[in-house]
Amino acid sequence: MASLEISHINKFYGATQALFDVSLSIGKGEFVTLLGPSGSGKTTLLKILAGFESVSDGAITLGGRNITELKPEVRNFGLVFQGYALFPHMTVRDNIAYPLKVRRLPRDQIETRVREMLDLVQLTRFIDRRPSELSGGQQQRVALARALVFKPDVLLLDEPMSALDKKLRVDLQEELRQIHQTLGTTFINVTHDQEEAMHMSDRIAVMNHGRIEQFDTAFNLYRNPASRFTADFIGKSNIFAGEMVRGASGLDFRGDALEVQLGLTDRPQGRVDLMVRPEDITILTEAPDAGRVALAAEVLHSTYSGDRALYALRLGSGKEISAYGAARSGIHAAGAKVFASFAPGDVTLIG
Amino acid sequence: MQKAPSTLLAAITLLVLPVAVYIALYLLPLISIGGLSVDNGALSTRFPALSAHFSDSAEVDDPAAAALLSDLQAMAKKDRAEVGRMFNQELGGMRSLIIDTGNEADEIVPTVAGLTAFDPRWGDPAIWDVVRRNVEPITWRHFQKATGVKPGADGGYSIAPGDDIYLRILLRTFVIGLQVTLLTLLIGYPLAYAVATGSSRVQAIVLMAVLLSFWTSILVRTTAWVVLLQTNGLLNGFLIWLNLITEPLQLIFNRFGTVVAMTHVLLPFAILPMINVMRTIPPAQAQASRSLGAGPIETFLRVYFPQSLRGVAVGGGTVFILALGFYVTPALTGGPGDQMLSYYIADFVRKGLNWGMASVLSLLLLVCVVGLLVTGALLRRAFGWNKAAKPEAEAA
Amino acid sequence: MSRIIYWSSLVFAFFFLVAPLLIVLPLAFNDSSFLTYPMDGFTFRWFEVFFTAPPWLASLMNSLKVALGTMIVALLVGGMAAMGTMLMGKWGQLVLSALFVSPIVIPSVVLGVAMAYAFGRMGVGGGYLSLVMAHTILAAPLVFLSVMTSLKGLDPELDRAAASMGASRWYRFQTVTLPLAMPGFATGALFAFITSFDEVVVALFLASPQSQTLPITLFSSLRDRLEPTIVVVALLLSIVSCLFIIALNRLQKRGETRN
Ligand SMILES: Nc1ncnc2c1ncn2[C@@H]1O[C@H](COP(=O)(O)OP(=O)(O)OP(=O)(O)O)[C@@H](O)[C@H]1O
Ligand SMILES: [Mg+2]
Repeated sequence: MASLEISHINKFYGATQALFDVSLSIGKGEFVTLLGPSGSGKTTLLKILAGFESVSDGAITLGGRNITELKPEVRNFGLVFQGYALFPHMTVRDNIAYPLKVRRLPRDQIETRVREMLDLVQLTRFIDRRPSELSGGQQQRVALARALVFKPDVLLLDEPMSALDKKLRVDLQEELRQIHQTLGTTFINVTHDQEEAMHMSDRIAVMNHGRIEQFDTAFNLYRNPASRFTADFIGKSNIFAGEMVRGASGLDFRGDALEVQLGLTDRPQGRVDLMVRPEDITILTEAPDAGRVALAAEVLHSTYSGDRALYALRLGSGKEISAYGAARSGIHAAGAKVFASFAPGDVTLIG
Repeated sequence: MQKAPSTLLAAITLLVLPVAVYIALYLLPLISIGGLSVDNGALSTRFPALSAHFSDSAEVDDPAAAALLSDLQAMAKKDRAEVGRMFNQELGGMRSLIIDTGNEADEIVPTVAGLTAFDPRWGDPAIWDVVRRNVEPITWRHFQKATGVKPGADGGYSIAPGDDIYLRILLRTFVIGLQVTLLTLLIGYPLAYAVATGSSRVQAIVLMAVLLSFWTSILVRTTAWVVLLQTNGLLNGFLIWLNLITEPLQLIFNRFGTVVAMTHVLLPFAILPMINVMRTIPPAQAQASRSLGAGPIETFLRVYFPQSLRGVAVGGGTVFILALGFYVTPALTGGPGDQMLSYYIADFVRKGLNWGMASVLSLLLLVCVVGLLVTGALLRRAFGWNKAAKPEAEAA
Repeated sequence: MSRIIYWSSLVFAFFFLVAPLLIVLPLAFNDSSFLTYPMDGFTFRWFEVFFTAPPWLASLMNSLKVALGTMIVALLVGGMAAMGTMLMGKWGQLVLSALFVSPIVIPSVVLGVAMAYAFGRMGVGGGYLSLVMAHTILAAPLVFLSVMTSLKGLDPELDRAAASMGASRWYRFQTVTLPLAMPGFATGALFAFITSFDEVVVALFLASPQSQTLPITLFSSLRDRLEPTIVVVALLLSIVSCLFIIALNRLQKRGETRN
């Protein structure tokens, strides 16, 4: 297995540190996305993988071979640039043929491979056009074909969709996923679009301030965030600070004006955060049966989006939370007194 | 990306040839001007013995007299005439003294007393002062002549009236430069304004004319003016045909001809920077000003003109600096009283091969030009014009 | 009122800018040896004089030789200077650019004096070679500037893209950098040619009677005696300038459609 191992990378720009002890283990053929807010170090990590930036320390190995110091041109990594970086003085054919010419392939073989790639990205008609004669989406696909035509070990994509409009973006995401499945190449994608990341990736590395917060599947990131940052960054969440205290049948959560009987036995006591997703909260007008948690609340305002409504609620303690409510039979008015209710099984403990 | 050592190596490989060419063909010649301006090879090599004597002591004693006589004896007759001419530039009468003394050098007793007996002028310390200064390998003679500053007998310096001819020529160069600059700005402003704000048709026509003029050689455009302004030329013919005058006017070989032709030749250099700046002034500003109640003239004066001043300054500066070094146009359209510094530099080389004077005047011109460039750069920084240019350009 | 001021000043300035050449150049076809209107008739006789009289034709040939030589050498010197400077750090670029551009601001007369003396001492004064050498210094800054501009306009990502596909530094330079900077080199070559072809002052200091260029011959005959052939020369030189502008325009258009 030619897996890509990134171990303990630190990167300094002068005195400022852009990456802190970054480690990732990526399997062959995986589709991995680096996701994080602006300035979190995604591009820096991608440039290091491509060989355009050196590491301050740490190592990268591919299938056991150390490639940390390898120059970009001998790494055999494909790279799709944010601005595509197509050669303006070459036709689509010459652009895609470029890496094959570099590798001194015979001419007929080059032509065959170029045509195969154009088939794959559905651009065969445009083979003799210049990049300036193509639309943004078409240019994007030429860039993709060019980065894949030489069968790179890894394909790196730096925010490949950011210059496209929403509709085109969704189409291309689908196409990119199919190409990934067809070729089986390892893809590493950079984005700050959460949806894009969750749609396409096998696993997502959430980055923050130069650190990897969590590297996991989209499901686990959402349901079991390992840190408060991830919980906040991925989707909407309500977080209560508190601690684990001994209860009747194990450890229970006790926070500010909130107690949840969990009866856990596999955790230590002490400080902890409790997260409830807004869709796990039900809004009731009367207090529910025992077994569910119920918090008296006042509706602050609501945002109606057809299938449901998102409510901002203020709890008795003054804390504000958000919750989704069905909106089929009307919306709770602002100022209404309600109960926010959820099952103890739907909460996630962080920390 | 970091600069790899191989990048530096590639850079150096590429730079070797150009740097070598620039040094050999450009820097060394320029530096040689500096040397030439104080070089006294012509005199010091002709007085080897005296030069050696004075480098040890400044005394005017018998060995000095002997050295002078032996040097004069060794010289060919025409060399003595040449040397005499050079000394004469500094002190009248030296020419005949040197030639006479040289002719009789065999007969004269090689002592100070002997020399004084031959010609009493050799007893005058002022004569010896001139001789001593001028047989050294380095001389300030050319600088003195260029500036008219002379060392007095009392050790001080003075400018003799009438000796400041080159300073007056420099002044004239500046005056002509200023006249031409003002005229180019005055005539160029409407053209630049039209290119920046006119209808697309006007823009295209005027810009084409400016570019054509810019790329047509200075000599060709000067030729046109020579043909136009002659005594029997087109302009005089036209004026006579209109019955405005009966006798042809003197339009060329005077200040009028020089200034008009130079203005025309330098006009594009004023216009192009003005266009660049005016194009960054958003047209919406003028519309805003009109909507706020200002008339077109007031809008122009209060909104447009102040913003275009940066272009006026750059264009004017360019024209002025170029004008200072002008040679071709004044040489063809000016009279003797309208020639600028460049003319005299060329004249010294072409007529007399007087490299010393040519290089001193070249240095003078160079110092003026570089001084102006530095002043311009400082002014630009002081006004913050370097930075201001960018956001404006983006706004447009 | 404002319209009147605008149009009258514009018309006057425009007239001043274009009239001299427009009025004078047609006299090249005037069938009279006086340079006056009305024209006596239409003739190509003065062109014949130009193309048969030895000083004119010989100096035209000299000019072409010098301009071509200058173009080649200046392209080499200015182009290499620009490419090398691009590879240097910030301060290196600043210092080298200042050096390579500086001949532009030195008055021609000063350069003429310096070169006439120095080249004479080197033993290359007077000939074709000394003119090419001098004009190279005048033209190389223009080549440098235009190549530099086109190199600076290149997207650095393109080079990275080529590297990521496996291209070596030299291969990238050949296949990406150089072709994209081509318009800069072509523009620079044009600048170099026209600079040399039109140059008078430095040539006056350097040329020997055998290596007189067309502008020198024009300059001396202007001081000497006005004859219609002078206008023919002016016309021919103007035509060269027009061709130059057209070529320049083409190059710029091509550069724009590419990027
Ligand atoms: N060349 C550099 N010199 C100094 N600091 C840099 C350099 N490049 C990046 N940084 C710093 O490193 C940190 C990470 O930058 P990076 O470009 O990797 O962020 P990013 O996650 O790609 O952000 P974005 O989503 O905005 O593209 C930032 O704080 C940035 O300021
Ligand atoms: Mg980035």
